[in-house]
Amino acid sequence: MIAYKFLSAGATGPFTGFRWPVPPLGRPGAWVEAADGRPDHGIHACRLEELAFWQDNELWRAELADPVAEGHRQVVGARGRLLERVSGWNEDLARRFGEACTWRARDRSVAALRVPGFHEEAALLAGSRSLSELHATSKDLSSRTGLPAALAAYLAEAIDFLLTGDSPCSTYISARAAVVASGGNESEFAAERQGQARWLAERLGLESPGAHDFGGHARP
Amino acid sequence: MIVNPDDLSCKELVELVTDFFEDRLTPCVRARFEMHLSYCAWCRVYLAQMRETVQLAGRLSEETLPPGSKDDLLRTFRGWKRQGGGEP
Repeated sequence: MIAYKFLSAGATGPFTGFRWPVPPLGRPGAWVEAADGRPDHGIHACRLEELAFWQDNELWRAELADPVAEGHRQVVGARGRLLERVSGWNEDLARRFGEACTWRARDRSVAALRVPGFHEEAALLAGSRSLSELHATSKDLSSRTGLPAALAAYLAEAIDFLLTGDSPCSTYISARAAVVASGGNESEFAAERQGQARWLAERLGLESPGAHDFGGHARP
Repeated sequence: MIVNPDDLSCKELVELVTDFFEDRLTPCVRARFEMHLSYCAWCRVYLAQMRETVQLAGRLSEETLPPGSKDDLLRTFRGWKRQGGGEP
């Protein structure tokens, strides 16, 4: 099956340190298989809807050979090889991705604050037109109490990490904010991660069924 | 207990590091462990430090200890237990 694999710089496995054989121009890379043959030691990759869970420096399109097993937010093949690097995934897109997720978290926060009547705080967040403005407003609101403070703290921290170039952490915080905005429904975390993955798939031009319900939340 | 199937706290990760190194995590917990690392720079640093510590400590033997160090270590551990610390 065709799947996707995030790797650290230099086509290096982020957890194993394994240097993947890079595909020669126009041809697939060499097949790689787990040394000891244990099924859970196979080649790990993810599907499009799982992209947001595994961000790293490089994104590769990969092929997994059968049998392919279902893992937790990933798929595991007996063998795998890199097909081509997804060139659209770079620092600039990672930052834009983080920003889009932050604005999405902002929108969720505004909606969540209006329900119990926090209209002033909701209006302040809704009125922020730039990331720096949203950052300042969130930091200010985070010193208040209750739900407004909690949601604002998530937003402020998501932007803190974004500004340091740590989009993976920023987007994680945005997904956690979805849980808080929902009143503590943990399933919102995975739902938000999947929404983030749809944003990525769409921007990267990767095939993704039903990939159009996240783009409307980009920055104003 | 891990509350969120898609999440792991930094504290939980720290508790699982030895099992991670010794390849004793179930595939599902290992996936969550690695998923946490993909967004948590602090835990990546911690893991790298632990990996280096294990590698360096693995090179030590009783014979390589400087004179007196063995006695110092034993004295420290015995004192720790007397002071109500956990098992070293």
